[in-house]
Amino acid sequence: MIASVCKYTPDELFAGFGESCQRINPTALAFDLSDQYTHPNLCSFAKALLQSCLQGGVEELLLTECCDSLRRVGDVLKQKLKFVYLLDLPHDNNGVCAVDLYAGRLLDLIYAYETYSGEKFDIAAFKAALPQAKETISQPYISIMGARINDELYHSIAKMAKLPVKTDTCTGVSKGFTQVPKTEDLQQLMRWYAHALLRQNACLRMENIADRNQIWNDPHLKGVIYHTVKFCDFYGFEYAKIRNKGVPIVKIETEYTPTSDGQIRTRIEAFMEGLTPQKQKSHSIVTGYTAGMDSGSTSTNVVILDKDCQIVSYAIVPTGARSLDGAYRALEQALQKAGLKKEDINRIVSTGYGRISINFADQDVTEITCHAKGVYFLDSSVRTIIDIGGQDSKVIRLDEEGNVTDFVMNDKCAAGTGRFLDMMARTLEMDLGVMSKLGLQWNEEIVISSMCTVFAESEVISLIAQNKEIPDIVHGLNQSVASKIYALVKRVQGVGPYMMTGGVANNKGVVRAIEEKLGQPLLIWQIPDLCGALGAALLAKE
Amino acid sequence: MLGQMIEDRIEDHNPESALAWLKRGYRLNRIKLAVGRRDYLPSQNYLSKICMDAILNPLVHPERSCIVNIFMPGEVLQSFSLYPQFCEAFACYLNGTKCERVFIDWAEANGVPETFCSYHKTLIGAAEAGLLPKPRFIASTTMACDANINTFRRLSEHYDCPLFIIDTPTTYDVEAVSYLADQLRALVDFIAQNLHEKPDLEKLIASIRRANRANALYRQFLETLQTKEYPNNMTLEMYRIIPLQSLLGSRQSTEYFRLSAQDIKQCPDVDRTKTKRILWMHTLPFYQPWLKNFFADGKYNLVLCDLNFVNPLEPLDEAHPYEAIAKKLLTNTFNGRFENRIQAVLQMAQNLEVDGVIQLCHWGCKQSSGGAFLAKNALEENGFPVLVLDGDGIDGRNLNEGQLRTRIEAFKEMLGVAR
Repeated sequence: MIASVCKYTPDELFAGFGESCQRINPTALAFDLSDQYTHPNLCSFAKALLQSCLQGGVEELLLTECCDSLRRVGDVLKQKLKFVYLLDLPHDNNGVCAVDLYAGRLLDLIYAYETYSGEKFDIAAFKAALPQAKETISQPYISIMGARINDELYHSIAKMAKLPVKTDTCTGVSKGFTQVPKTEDLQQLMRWYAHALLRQNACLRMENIADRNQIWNDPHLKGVIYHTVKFCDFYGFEYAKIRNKGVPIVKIETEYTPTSDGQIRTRIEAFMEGLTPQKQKSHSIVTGYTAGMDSGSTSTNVVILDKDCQIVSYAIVPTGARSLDGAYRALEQALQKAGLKKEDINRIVSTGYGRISINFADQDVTEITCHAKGVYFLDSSVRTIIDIGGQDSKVIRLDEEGNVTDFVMNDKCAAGTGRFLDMMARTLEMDLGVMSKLGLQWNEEIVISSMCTVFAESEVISLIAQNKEIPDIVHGLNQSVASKIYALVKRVQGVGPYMMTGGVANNKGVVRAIEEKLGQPLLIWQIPDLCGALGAALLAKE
Repeated sequence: MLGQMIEDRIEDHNPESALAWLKRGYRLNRIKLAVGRRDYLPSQNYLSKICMDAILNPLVHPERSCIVNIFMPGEVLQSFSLYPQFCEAFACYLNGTKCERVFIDWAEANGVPETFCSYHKTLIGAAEAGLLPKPRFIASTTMACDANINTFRRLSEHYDCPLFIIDTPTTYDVEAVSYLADQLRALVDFIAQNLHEKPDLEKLIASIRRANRANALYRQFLETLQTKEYPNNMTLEMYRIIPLQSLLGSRQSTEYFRLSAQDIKQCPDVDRTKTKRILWMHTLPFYQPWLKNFFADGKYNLVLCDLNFVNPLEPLDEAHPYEAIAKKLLTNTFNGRFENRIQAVLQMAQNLEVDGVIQLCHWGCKQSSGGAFLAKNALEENGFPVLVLDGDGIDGRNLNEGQLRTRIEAFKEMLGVAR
């Protein structure tokens, strides 16, 4: 079996040798082997492919020169596998000369495989292997666009989506051939084949990508889940473009590992919630007490509301190792403060990373929707929410009715989150309360230039060694968080008034730094940690 | 100070003022360069001047400028007397002005991936923030990296300005030469049409002749470099890319190589008891103080960067100009298999008898970083110690100084202290 990875690969050609060429899509549990042969900053899929090939199982590999990462993987594997062929794929997908060139490259491949295998190419067997064109979807659907996606993630998206899912990723469009010529002339046949391959829906490494508009102009398209792979940079560009077209879209980024990431789940679920309009939004149908529980990475927060949506009690407790235990503790504490019993609560909605683990909740809703609900309830003039929690930060855009119109979250990196400040406070040997105040007492402008948390930590250590004043270092760290947040605000084209939520909103230095970046004040509720739980409790009323 | 003024104006959404200050600053610098530095050789002072002009001219005369990538053939551009602004050079100058970060942040805030090449992020940010004036056209080859097609397509849309992409095959054969030569013919027509001029083959041939002369002089320089200690630093080595690429075919480029071939003859002979000779692979983070110091104490000489020997220096056939330029592009060591680049570096390391090689894995550059360990293994097998550095040619935030310092110090210890 010959393995291939790109849609421009002439897979069917190998039927002419009595062989099959299979598209593979490996994920990696670890990158230990690939890191021995190439740099870690290569595209994660390329590394997963390299890892998989080095682990064995693939002996013959056909790659196109589709991108720099795969080109280098080919360079490495040439020394390792029995047969590795790098096909020189033109960028020009419209020109006649490019078709001629690619046809010549296909002939070269045939000759190379004949030499390698000792087999003769059979034109009839090749023609018989060409698949027919498939029908397109003609009902409302969700499209997965962007870079290739691993099979596990595809299936979990398909499960979460309430509509059929179509794959429009760089490898997703399956080939279909019509009007196979009758000719037995190999050169003519390869010219036709090269033409058909190059005229597929263009991926972004191609020169002419105008036909990609068809994807987001399709009337049946209801939303786009835009997938990017770490260190594959082609697709970030298109994402930015589609966002401005008004198509509902959410971006997720993965590293081609099989882990199911909580943040990705939150993004997709929040996106799906946004696609399904809430019914009877303004009419409360649950009377009596309701509770909202926000199970975060650091704390679990509970808010209990009475029938008039007044807060009767709340609790903030550390989540601990098991989110369910933290949830029980938090609820118990809130009930005790209010003098209520669990039976008095008519409905509970959970949110936050641990929302699914809270088995006694009646419903779980993402923190995006809950924060929006909570903030809109507190101040309906707010149009942009900045939420900085323990392990992630989010910026959420609201319309006049409090609906989420857009949101972004930080990537996996901790920079710009509460965890980042936590680590830095530990490095500076102070608690977060002290750090919050010190951030306002700075004199010298210090720039913490490293984006990476680990690098920033070593930068802080070297600033301490240079005897820099601690308030100045803290201010530098606050500025660094503010820059990250500002970039997220820009990405959703945030407008004021702004409200900041999450535990980091208690940090005066960070708040001031963000305000300076925005050039606008931040509205902050008296207990900003509770906005998510408040929103959940309000949703429990509906 | 100038950098801060530019950053402030960009943040205040006043790019016109930022550009005006940038031009003022560069003009002042140009006056300073005309006086020259005492510690520079005539060729180096001349190089500093023509590079400053190469950056300033497209800002002052945007109607005669084009935005291009590093390997867009200078012979064609110079035959039209254009002012090409190439991505990496402009980004370096903005770094030198200490205002690159505002543009990188701008690009990232507008959807450009953080993992994208920082040179390209700087260019995109500078264009979209309004600093870089609209050029006459944009042109790029698809080699040597994936960033080109994304960046230049985006800039073309941003400026609403014509774009020409040269699809460069990775295989060198007759078909590829013909495919590329046809595109180069079309490029000449495209430029002529955009400038409202007629294509002039004579001018192209004249440009090729000047380029051939420059290459012949550079070949002499490299041969002499085997035995002479030509003083160098990271900034000058980065500067040299400009006359070798976008300015190639101009009189200034040829004059620079004439001066450098002349200067090197006056340089002292290599004394291996005093100086270790270092060959550099990939771009140079010239702004990094620790690295600057590494080459400043006279014990370690930056002999050459492999970006400055990407092409064979054989004369181009002026009777077949398009085919000749096509061959030059196809045989560029950054095109195709990484093995081509390794062999070129290995041969140069042997010719120049260097003591070690430093390779920078520039943030976001997969085509180069992806082959770093292949190069390291091949060079070490041939007796050349190699230091692989992770960093960024532009954005200091992607370079951990503490780690860099440790690696450099350890490499020094590996090479042994020059006496």
